[in-house]
Amino acid sequence: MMAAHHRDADSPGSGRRIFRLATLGTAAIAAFVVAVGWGLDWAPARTIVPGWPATTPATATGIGLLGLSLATAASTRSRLASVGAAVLVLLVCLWALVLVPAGFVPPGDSPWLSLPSIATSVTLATLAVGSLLVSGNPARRYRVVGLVALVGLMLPLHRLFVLALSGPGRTGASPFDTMSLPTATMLAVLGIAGLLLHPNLPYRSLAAARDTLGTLFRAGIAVAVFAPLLTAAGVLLGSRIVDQDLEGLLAWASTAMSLVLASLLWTGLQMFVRLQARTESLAQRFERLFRFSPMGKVLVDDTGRIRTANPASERIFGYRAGELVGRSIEDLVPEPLRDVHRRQRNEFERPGDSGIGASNRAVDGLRADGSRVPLEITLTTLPDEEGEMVLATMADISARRAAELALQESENRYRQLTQSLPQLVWTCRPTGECDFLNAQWVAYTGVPEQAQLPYGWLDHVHPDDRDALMSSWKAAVETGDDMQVEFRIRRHDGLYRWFDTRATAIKDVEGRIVKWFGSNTDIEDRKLFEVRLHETQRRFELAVQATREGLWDWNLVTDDIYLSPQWFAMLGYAEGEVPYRGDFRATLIHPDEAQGWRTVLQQHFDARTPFHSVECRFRAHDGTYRWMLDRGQVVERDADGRPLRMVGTDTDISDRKVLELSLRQQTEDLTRSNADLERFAYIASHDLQEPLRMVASFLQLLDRKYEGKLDDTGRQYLDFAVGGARRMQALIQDLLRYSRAGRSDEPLVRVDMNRALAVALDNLSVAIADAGAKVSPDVLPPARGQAGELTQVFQNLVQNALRYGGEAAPELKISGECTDDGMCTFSVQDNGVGIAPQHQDRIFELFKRLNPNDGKSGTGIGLATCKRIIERFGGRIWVESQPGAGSTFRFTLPSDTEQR
Amino acid sequence: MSDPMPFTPVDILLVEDNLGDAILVREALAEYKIRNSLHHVQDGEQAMDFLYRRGDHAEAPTPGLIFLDLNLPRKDGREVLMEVKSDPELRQIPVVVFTSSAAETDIVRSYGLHANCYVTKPLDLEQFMRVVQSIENFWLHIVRLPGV
Repeated sequence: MMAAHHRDADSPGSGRRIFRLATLGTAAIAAFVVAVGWGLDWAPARTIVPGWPATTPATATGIGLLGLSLATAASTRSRLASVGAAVLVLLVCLWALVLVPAGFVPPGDSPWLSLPSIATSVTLATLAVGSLLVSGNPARRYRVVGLVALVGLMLPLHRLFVLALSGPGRTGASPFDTMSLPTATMLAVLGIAGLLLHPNLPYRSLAAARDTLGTLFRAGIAVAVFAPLLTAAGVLLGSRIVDQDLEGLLAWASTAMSLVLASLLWTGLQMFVRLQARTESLAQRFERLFRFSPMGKVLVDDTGRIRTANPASERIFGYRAGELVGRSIEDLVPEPLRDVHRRQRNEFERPGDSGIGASNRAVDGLRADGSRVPLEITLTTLPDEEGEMVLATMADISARRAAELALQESENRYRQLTQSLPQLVWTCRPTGECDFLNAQWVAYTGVPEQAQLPYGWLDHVHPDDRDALMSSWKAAVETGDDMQVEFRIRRHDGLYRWFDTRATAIKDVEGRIVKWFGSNTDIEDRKLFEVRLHETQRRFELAVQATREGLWDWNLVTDDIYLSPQWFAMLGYAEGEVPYRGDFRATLIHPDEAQGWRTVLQQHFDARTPFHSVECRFRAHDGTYRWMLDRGQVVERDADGRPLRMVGTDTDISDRKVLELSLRQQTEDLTRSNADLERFAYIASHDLQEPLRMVASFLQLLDRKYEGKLDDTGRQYLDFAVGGARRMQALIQDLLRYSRAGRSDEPLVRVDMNRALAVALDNLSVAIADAGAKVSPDVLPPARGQAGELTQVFQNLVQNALRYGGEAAPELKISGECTDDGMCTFSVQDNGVGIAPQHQDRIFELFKRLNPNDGKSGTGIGLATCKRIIERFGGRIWVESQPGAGSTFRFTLPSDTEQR
Repeated sequence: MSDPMPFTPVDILLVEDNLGDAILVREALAEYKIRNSLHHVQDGEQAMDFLYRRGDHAEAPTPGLIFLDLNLPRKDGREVLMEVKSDPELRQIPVVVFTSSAAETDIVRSYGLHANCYVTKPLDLEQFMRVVQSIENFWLHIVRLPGV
């Protein structure tokens, strides 16, 4: 249809041919009238109807010239000739119209010299002006020329009507009714030709114009057609009004008919104009729909040739603008389908038909570069003046295809992902019914997926958690908000484990829930850890409260430090009274310890010590200093090992410090007194002993040298003095032993008790022999102690037994045995006087003796020495005795067995 | 081995600040009826003077045995011991440390200074005399010493 439209508009067509025939034909006829009618004087050529007025030679010549002028007016080449002919015609008409009434009558009476009549001249002049107007460029003023032509048409038509109605009888009734029949006919033809003057645009486009000029033109047509009829009728009416004959009646009737026809023509023309406009706007709409459609559109004729293609289709197939038109539609079909397409091209389903599907078919198209493009095509037919054309509408769906593929792939990936997640993953419909549980869920519960949908899974939730879970779930389904809830799920073996469940609604662009997506993460271990952590924390808090420890947490980058309430309380500050700054805290440290504190801290910062631990004094609120044990550890370091954060505690150790100080004092005192004792022991052994030895020795020397010169009394006095001196010596010796007993720093070792006893008995061999004592030692087990000291113990005990023997000769039994508790008990049993129970403890005290000082008794130091030695070795000593029944001294020592 | 010479008188040097002890030693030796001459000095300086024949002791003989007490005025017995044992001539003379001290430290120290023996003075007179006589007998009659 488009093509038809264009073809119609572009070709000069019949209008042009008619124009040429009319103008040149009229010129030829005019020449014939002059040549034959007048030159050969053949009347019918001048009058057509015999007896009727003839066309004068001047008129015929004017018409011929006008015809030539009009015929050549449109051409630039013959412009001069056209203008010249028109001007010549105009000059003749000017003479006839202006000079004749003014008296300039041509000389003579020859018909050759007669001028055209007024009516003829007006018409000729009008059409000549039209010819001049379009001369050289008819397109320029063609619409005006059209009007001019209409005007030029009116007089000849009027005359033709008059002649047709009443014949030439009425000729001369008015100056406009003078035209002869040939003249009127020829001028009418030229007038019509004037309307067709434009070479390309026919008169009808002028008549269809929707502007004032078009309206005028359309009115002009009606006027040009009917005004002559009216005027002709008016002429007749004017002459026959009184006759009341048939002609008069006809005149009336034709007049009325003319009016009706004129109005009909007018409305028809107006309707035509409207229809024309609508058609054009429809065409334009179609054109735009076609051209600017995002869908590719191709019009194909019944031979398979592409008649029109829109830019979208060119884009789809990769052709340049205009390249598709004229190609075969099969050029756009990939090779394997081409033949089928050619055969079945016209068998698609038309509306109301049932053939091959023609709506939204997905096919592949072949692009200019040989690649394929997936298309979705809809076919329909369009009627055309040359038959039927097919409109193919197509969309490039490669993007959609790719998106579909991507969607498919992402869905697969998502499936795989959910199956590989350690979590239990599920999805539910927007209404809350679940439609998918992943493999982990199934494996965990041990129940097939289908058995748990849509709500079967709830059976695996711990009964105590179900209500809370369901109310959360219902709330989530209603609001579409995310859900997070913790509950226990039963494992296939019946064990419940805690899960952290999160659900998110997947929503479409309008916010409607499409799907619920959820995952359950096993948090059993975390839960356990939380409980333990809480316990640990609580324990720690209690411990901190109990131990009076202040906590601090020091940011070493910003120097901010957190100090716990307990920290402030320990030093008597109100909470926050000390700024939370690390450097300020350091200023509270006593100047004597500040340097040491910094050194230790720096060592820890340099990672040379695993902990920071310093005892130092902090200034309390009241200005006094409190001893603190400041301990801490860097808990964060940067990549270069620089400390970032340190936490620690301060423990109030003032009490301990005081105790420590007094203990140190005591230790020092004790050491000093021990040293004094040592000195005393030395003095006793040497300086004190020396004069005694002198006394004793010289008394003895005296006794020896002057024995015979002393009387009995003198000798007795001398004996007392010697005895006193000896006793004094024994006292000093024993005291020395006592002071040294158990003071040795030597470590405890294995002692062969048999040997220790043997040495003791050997030392006492003289005394034993003197006393006539019988000593029976058993085999003794080894013990831990020091051989020399234990010899002393045995020696003292045996000596004691000898000293306090009864009437009979002393009998001593010495035995020992070890028990499982790691101690060995040794006993020295005698048959002596025995000791009353009330004295049994006293005998181990220093200088406590049960017997009077008769010279034979001991110093009262021996047993005390034994006690001191045994206790130093971790044992104890006691006596079991009854007066007169002998005594058994027992002592214990750690056995040597545990060391083996 | 040459024959002992029991009748050759030997000079014994007794370094002892306690006159009582000096008398007891003299008594002990006298009782033994040996014709040895006992020289008694009361302090360490005199002892060194005697040994080096200095001052009053210019005519002193070289002793064949020294009884040395440890606690002496002016110059301690330990110093005397050290000086004697440091002298290549004097070190050959046997030195018997004869003291009332039974302290272990004194014993160890004396032997460390090369004392020939260490004897604690017995408390009992009888024992005292026996010990002195034993020492004299041992060092002057039993032991063989380099010829003086």
